[in-house]
Amino acid sequence: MIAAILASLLIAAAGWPIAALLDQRDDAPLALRVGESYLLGAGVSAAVLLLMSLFHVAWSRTAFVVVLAIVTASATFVARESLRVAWPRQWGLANVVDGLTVIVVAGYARYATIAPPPENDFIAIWGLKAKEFWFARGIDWRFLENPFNALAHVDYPLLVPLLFDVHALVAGTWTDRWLGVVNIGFGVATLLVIRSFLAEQIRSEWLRALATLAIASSALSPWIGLAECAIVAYGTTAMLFLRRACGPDTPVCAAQTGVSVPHDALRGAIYLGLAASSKNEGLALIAAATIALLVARSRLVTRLWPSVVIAGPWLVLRLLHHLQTDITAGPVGARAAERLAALASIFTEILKYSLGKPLFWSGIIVALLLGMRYLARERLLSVAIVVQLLFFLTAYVVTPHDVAWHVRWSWERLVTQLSAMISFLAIIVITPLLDRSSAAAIQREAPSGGVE
Amino acid sequence: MRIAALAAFAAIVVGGFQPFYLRILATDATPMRAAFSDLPYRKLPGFRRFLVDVDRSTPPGASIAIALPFGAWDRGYEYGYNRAGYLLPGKQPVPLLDLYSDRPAPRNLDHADWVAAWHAAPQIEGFVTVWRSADGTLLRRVH
Repeated sequence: MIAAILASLLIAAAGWPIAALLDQRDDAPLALRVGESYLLGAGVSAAVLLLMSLFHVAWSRTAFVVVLAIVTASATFVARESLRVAWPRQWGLANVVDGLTVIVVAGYARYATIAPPPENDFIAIWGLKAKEFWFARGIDWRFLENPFNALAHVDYPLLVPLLFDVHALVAGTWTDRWLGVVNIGFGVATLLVIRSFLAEQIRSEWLRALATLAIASSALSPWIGLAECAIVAYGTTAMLFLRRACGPDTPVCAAQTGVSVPHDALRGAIYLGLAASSKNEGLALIAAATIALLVARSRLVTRLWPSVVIAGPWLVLRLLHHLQTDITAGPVGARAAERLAALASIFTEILKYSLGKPLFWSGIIVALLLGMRYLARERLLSVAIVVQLLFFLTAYVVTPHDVAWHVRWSWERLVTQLSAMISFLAIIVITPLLDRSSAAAIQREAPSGGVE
Repeated sequence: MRIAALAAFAAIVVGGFQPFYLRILATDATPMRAAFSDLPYRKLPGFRRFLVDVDRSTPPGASIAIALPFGAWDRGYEYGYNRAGYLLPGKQPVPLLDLYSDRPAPRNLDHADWVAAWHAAPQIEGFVTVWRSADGTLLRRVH
């Protein structure tokens, strides 16, 4: 357990100066900085292992820590003016609700680490690859290229398996017993980031604390040992930064937070790239975000270039090593034509498998209906969510697998990737109805088209 | 409108709350840990123990054909084959079913130096039995 905690701290420490570099404020909110530190540190740690493998440097704890220390020290030097953060100053009764959220996180942490991840996809995909790489002390391309291992989805990006290997390197042994800490790291980071953005949106402390509690179960992925936790974290964070980049239709606009629009777009793009480095749905999210930006603020589309730069190398490696993706295997066109002719059957399957939490989803739908007039302002999030859902449906149209089987084992998990984002959107659009001070602030900002 | 919004917000908060995460804090971890550890393997009793023994008996990099009494991927073969990969790190499991259909693929034996047969004791030409246990048999290629 100590090694798992140490590895998580190492990851967050590596990310801190990079988060500072991107933020460039000397009083960034503590919650946001801690959340971003873990997210960026995880990306950098995985990138270090990937680069070591590409340069044929056998993985070892010393080599990894030295390379990571060099990266961290360099980033610390460049970001030395903005390493500090603003600690929360006001504590009130509403923080009792935050206490409940902390207890929920503690319960989740216990669940995530009570045993080795029991999920089939951990054993067959994410954990399998990490374990193979650990034994090979590097990315085992022969394993990935061997057709007998096709069931391990060898085309999936490697950020999460590499992060498991970071834990193995720090522990000095393969210990799947504690790999659930990766889920905890991503879940807590997501919650901290969301809380920071809620603080910009909602003036009532009670509402803010309750909203954080409400989103907690969406931010804490129940699929332990799978890449879902990473895509929830990176995808949600990316979209929240891009949303802020789109303009000041919120109580606290970009000018007040002190973060310029280009940085928000850059940060959003970086997290999109990291989402795409976690799971193929992240690649789809880049496309969904691009479409949403074309609708909401087309001039920002070119600022998504970092997402392509981050996601690109794996796509090139995939191509070079002939790592096939199963979804497009075989006669895709014929399959799609056949499925489109019977599209209703896909929806029938989707309706058959519940997303769970009926009260929660009913509340979300009612909130979105009640806040319809504010949805137009939130077109970035709204369009991105709808387009991403359409991409999920497209996967069912072209899948080489039996549709009923595919829907049964993926639909709930896929929707969970978006549920933190959807919850945030639903809460934000009803905030003006719940909190008059936030509503007044929005009215003041209403005519504005955003900052450029 | 405000009352409806309050109701929707309450539904999101209450409906999103997972009491399981509170209950687990007061739960005895030991039986839960045992159940969770066993969960991924419980459909093939003894399979994990068998593969741990196979792992001990085979050298790094070994190619091991996985013989299971299931004739289709989605009727048990995939379940066992996936777990074999995880429990035999640094070794290459070889499927005895065609990857993209449920046709038997005995030719894949050409790629294997070992055969791990769960709940079976097959006689395969070119292989000899190394050991046999209540969980299965390990065979090694002799020529």
